Amino acid sequence: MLIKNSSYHTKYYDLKKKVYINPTKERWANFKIDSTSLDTHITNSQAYSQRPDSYVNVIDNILPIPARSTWKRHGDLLTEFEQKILGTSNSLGIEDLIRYLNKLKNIISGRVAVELSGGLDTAIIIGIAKHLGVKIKLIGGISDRYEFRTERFVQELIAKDFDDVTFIPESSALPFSNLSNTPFHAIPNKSSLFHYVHSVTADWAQENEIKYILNGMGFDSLLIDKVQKKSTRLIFDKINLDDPWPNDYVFKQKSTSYINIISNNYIRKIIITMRALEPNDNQKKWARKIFSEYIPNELSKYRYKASFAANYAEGLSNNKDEIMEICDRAFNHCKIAKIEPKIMKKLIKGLEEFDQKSEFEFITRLSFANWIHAFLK
Amino acid sequence: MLRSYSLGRCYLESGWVIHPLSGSLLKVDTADLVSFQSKKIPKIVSNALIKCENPFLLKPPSDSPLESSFVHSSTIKRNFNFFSSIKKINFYLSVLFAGLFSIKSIGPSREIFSEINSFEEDLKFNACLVKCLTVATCSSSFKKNGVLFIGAHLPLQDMHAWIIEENEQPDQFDREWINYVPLMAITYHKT
Repeated sequence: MLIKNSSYHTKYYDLKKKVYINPTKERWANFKIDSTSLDTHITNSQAYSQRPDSYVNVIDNILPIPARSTWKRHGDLLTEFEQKILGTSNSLGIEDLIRYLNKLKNIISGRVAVELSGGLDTAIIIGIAKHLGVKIKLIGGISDRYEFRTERFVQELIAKDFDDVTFIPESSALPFSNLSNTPFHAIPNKSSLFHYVHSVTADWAQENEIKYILNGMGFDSLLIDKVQKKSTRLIFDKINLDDPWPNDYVFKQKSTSYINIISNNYIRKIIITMRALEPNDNQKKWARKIFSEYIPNELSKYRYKASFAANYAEGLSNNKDEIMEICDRAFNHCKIAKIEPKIMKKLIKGLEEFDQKSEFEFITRLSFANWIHAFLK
Repeated sequence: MLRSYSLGRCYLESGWVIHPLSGSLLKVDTADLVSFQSKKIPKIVSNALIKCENPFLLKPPSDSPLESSFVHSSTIKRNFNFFSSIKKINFYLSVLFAGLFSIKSIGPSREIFSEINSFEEDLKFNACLVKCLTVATCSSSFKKNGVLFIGAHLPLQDMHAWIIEENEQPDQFDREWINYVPLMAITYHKT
């Protein structure tokens, strides 16, 4: 049998009843949640995948079906129906990308905004949009921290060319902010811990009647990872390169779509084809060269990259009390020892001492606690 | 002779300095910061500080990887191992020895960094200061134009060392340095 999701958001399929269900707080509060649920969430987080063929259900029989995808079910086994194989044998170049985007421009109706981070990925999107004469607004978090001086310089440089630019001060939307108001979400996801910056952006979008906000979410993998001749690897898979959480739970509610530009099959195919046989490229040298016409010299010739570690640490430190309250409430509901506040406090200590294992454990467990808290409140 | 200059800086409402003997990061009252700062710093240091503040004033990094200078490979490795051992004992001694045992220049900093970057990963782990001291002792360009900075990613306790030479940051593989606020400068130049 086929399970098809033709919508633009994730849907939740009940494998037992064989129907899609509408996730609600009330229904979710009645589901059995135990330490196995947390362990499966940890497994899913390690795999970095929400593909139904590899996702382990956190709630019995409830499976997330990604937007615009169809799956074949044989018993317990799911396989993607017509999985697109991204071969790189065709010769496609930047002119094909520009031509395609030009066509796309004529189809899109409604106001468009692009995130302006000061980094390479969003600068490429902004540069091409400007080249094609697409009228866009820009929105981005800006930081006055020392380490973000190069990002800030690029943000201000790009902003000069646009009439409508909004900056969100980083200090007002730190990671882990306002977790008590995380929207209800069907399955745990670490993006919920960063919901506040998305909420601020979505409010702005609603106020400005923005229909689409374009982001550069999946570019990191696409522009860095080694590309083999016939790239069938799941690393370039649309679902794996996307994180639907912000769109599903924050932007959609504000009548805006938060679009990962490379979730478009053809855009992804052109870029992968252009990068065919390119080695691993951590500094994105290839992209800086290929897109040099569309981005400032500061991004094509230099490769600076600020660390978010201090930003992250400040968010954690400012919101420790709220984090503990969330863990306390979630622990009281499910009695899972791994999210007990005193255990989480120990993990925070590890995090403050730069222990990477603690970081993964903390983020995974906190996103689980935050998920429970969001349907209990 | 290598000389060190304390740059002590006010950041996030605190004063930050590097202890000249232990090399550790200290948080001090902003009112006391002046007493921790060098009274005068050489022009080469103030010029290099401007580049640290505005990294786009530096020459863009080269795209082509440098061939390591195999001729002097053993000298570089010997110095690197020497400073690794001394640094484990004391920060001050490692800077002092770097100044005293400065050898005949064997090439520009870019090439020496490139050679060190070809060493095994476990040798290079957490060895930014050792790398920079090795370069400072053997590089012709450092002796002429170089400033070795030690800085911190504030308010974290994370520290790093890097070199600025006139218009260049000569370590092709170091993308981390821009995160660190320079708090101490080490150079052969006097005020």
